[in-house]
This record gives sequence, structure tokens and C-alpha cells, in this order.
Amino acid sequence: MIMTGETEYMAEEQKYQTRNYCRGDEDKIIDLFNGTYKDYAGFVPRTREYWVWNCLERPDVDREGIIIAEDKTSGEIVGYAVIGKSGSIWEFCIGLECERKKAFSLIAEKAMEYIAEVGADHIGLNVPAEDNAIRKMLEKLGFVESPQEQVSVRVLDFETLIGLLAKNVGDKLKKHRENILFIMEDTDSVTKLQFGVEIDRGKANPSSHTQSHSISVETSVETLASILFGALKPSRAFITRKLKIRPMRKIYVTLELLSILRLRDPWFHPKADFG
Amino acid sequence: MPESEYIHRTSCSADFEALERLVRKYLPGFVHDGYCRWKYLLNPYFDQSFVVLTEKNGEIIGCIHWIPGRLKIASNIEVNANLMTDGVTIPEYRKLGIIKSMMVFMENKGILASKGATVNYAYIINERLARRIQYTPLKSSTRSYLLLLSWKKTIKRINEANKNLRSSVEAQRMFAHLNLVLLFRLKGAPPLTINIRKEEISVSETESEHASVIVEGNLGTFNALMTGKRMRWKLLKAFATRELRVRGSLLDLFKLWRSFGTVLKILRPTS
Repeated sequence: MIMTGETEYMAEEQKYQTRNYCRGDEDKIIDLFNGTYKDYAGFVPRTREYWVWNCLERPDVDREGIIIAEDKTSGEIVGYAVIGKSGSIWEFCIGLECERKKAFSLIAEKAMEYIAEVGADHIGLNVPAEDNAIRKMLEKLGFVESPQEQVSVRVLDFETLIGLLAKNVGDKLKKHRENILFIMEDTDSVTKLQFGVEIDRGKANPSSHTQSHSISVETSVETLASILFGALKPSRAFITRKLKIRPMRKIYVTLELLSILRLRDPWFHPKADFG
Repeated sequence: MPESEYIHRTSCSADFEALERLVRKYLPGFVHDGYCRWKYLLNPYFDQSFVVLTEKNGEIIGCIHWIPGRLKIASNIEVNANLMTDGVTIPEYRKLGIIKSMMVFMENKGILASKGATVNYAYIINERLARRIQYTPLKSSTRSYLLLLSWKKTIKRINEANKNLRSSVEAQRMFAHLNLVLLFRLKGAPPLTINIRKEEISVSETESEHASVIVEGNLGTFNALMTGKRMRWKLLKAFATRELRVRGSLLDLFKLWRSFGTVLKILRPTS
């Protein structure tokens, strides 16, 4: 059968369809969310329990506000949006494997209809800065960037954190064998002011700070947190005297170690995580 | 802060209603009917002992909530973490360090680390505030997008201002010399015309052909201007960087600049 350009287009348009959430979708939705944002940090990893409470039971959300785009033939969920009656899109996700433009257009159309129906005066949502395709489509629809809240952290347990970071970088630490003593100023809290970390064969374990150490690092809680969470380069912290390293011959190796340990993945949070 | 006057303690279930009243009253933009019940009582991760409050003479004057849970700190690292949220003090007790002292109280008691949390985290729009309470602001890859479909909240606010205008001679005097038609043409929002006269301010979501001052730009920039402090300075900066453009006769622009505070009161959201 020969199809005209128009019918071909129509046939393609109908690849996906939208519907509202129905019971039993949770696991597919959660898999889609965790898979789509797998390269990101900064959000609560979705579990069934969390998603049901955070999206389904949210007072601002009713079932008609959860719009799902699925593949017509396979029934696979390719995208979804959790829209509140206030106009906030609490969670928004378009899978990476699907034809994103089509899935986006379908969800956006339904979302606009729903928002007009509930009478909200605005639509707001969060998207990752790296997702240029979605950002371009939003801008095409007339959306503009608006000020957003930033994530801030306060580290409660540096030893565990450094241990986890060391595990994360694995081989890169293998050639290093150091016992580092961190001495930090923190005026108000009980955050341990001194702690030791032994880096050996790719692992970082807490060590007693009375043990002999090969490096001592004097800094503040905020500086060390900024370095480990990727907000401050170790070399910059050193140049600006926020990081004092002894002995001098260990400056390079300490900066290298901190640089290996620091987190680099982009941070993204959907509106659902803070609202 | 004289410690003896203020008592910090963790909350119990009997405190829920008082805390809800406090949060609803002082964070009105975030809190709606059923919000606290859902956010805390229905939350499977919520723990009452992770809420700290401060009392003075038996009255609750401030509180902070933490919600224990999980957080991804890297693509392949998840940690136990406490989300700090709904921290508030009654206005007359602000700038006394009460929030910070509640945080220290919780850390010293070891409550926040009791479920193995590695970090506390919070969503804070003001970087300086985050640093003041010893939270480290991180670089974020999150972008917020907004599309305003209707100015109905602004229109409602202006209609309320109108009632005051009709009954207040002083307000009428303030507006008497203005006699301006302001047109806002912002990307991401429908057009808005505000007609300021001595007796009345009228407003419509249309483009007036007789606008004396036209403000053009982006809704995001405009929203950023409308929140926070140092508005005149931010406005000047937005004009200098051409993020906002304003057109009109010099006289009208001067009139607008002089009455900036009054016009702002009308436009600025209360929540």
C-alpha cells in the first residue's frame, strides 16, 4: 500500500497515546523516572512507597492530573506528568529511548487542557539544564526560565561520606597511600572537629586521629563540603587559603586526592521533592 | 539570645495543630488545606522527633521540620539524608539566631544522625541565608520554567487596592499625580494594562493603545525583581543589561520612578 505523506505522518502521530494514571502503573512510572534521570544526583530515588505518597496522595493532585503517554502497540509508558490543581507540574519525565518530541507534544497538549479545566493561572515545572531538547520545546510553547530554589547541604558525617566517595572512584585512588588528618573549624555544632581518613588500595577508611598521619589538612566544614560536593575546586580553595596543607611536599598529592574524590554529576530535583 | 528565656524541645503529636497554624500563618504561599497533614502525618518517612520547636512563656515561636529519607548524591551513590523544611519563626523573634540555635540543639542531641544520615539538605532560594545557617549551596542543573496563563491574582490584588483607594483620601492623593497607563508586554505572560487614575486603578489583560509607559522583557526577570529586597537597584540593573526595557515620555518615566514604591505595592505578590 502506498501512503501519501499526510497519511504517513498521521500513522506516525498515532504511535503514542495519552491516558490518565490507573492502578498498577506505579512500578513502570518509577522505573521510567529512575532510568531517565540515572545520570543525575540531587533527588530522592523513587520507590513505590515514596511515589505513592509524594504524587498520588498529594492534596494538590487528582488522578486526572497524572497524564501518561504510552506506546500504542506495546503499552510501554514513554513519558508522564504529575500536574497539580495549582498549576505546578510536580514530576515530569519523558523517556530517553522514545521519540521524545512526539511524547512531549502529546503530554503538553493534555496538560494544557487539564490546567485550563482546573483554572490554574500558571504552569511551572523543573527540567534538567542538560536536557536541551525539552528546554527548546518548552521555550517554543512560550515558557520562560524563572528563579529557582537551590539545594544546600550540611554534612553530618564526613568520614562516611569520604568512604562512599572513595568507593565510587575506585581505581583512581589505587596508587595513593596516605593517612590524612582533617582539622576543621565549626563554631556551633558537634560536627567532629578532627577526623582521620586512611586511603589505602583504593579504599578510604576512618582512622584514629591520634595515629600518625602523613598529611594534615586545616579547613572549615563549609569549604570541605563545597569541595566534596563539587561547588569549589580544591586548587582554588588552596589558593584562597581556605585549605592549609602540611607538609608542603604533600600539597600536590592532597589536591589531587580531593579532586579525585569530589562529586561531579549534575544535580536535578523535580518540584515534587521540595514542594 | 538569652537561652533561659527560650526553650527548645522536639515535638510530640499534641503539637501538630499549633505547628500547622504557625506554618500556615507565616509560610502562606506554600501551605494550603490538608498540606501539613499530607506532608507530615501521611508521610511514611516522617518522624515526630525530627521536628524541633522553640517556646517562650509557653507559646511556640518557631519550628523546623526535618524529614529523614534517601538522597542521590551522585549517579551511583545514595545516602540517608534529612530534608530540612518549613523552618519558621514569628516575625518579632527573627534575627535573634533562633533558627540556628534550634539546628544546633538537634545536632547536639544527636537526633539528626540517629537514622544514619550522612547529610542534611534544604531547598533555599537565598544563598546568603543558606550560608548563615551553615548550609553549603551547591551548583544545580535544575532549571525552573514558567508560563503565566492569566494575571488573575494580580487583578484580584489590584481590585482589592481599589477598594482602599476609594475610601482613602491619602491613597487618592498618592495616585493623583500619576495618571498613567502602564502596559506590560512580558514573554511568558499575557499582556497586562494597568490604568492608574486618581479615583480608580483599572486593569485588563489586553494591550492598551494609549499606554504611557510600556515595560517589555521576560516574566522570569520580572518575577525575580518582584521578590526579595533592593528592588530599585535590581530594576536599574535589569534596565542597564536590557533584560527589561521601558518606553515612555521622560515625564511619565519620572512620575513612575517617583511612585515606584506605591506601584510596587500593587504588583508585588503578598505570598
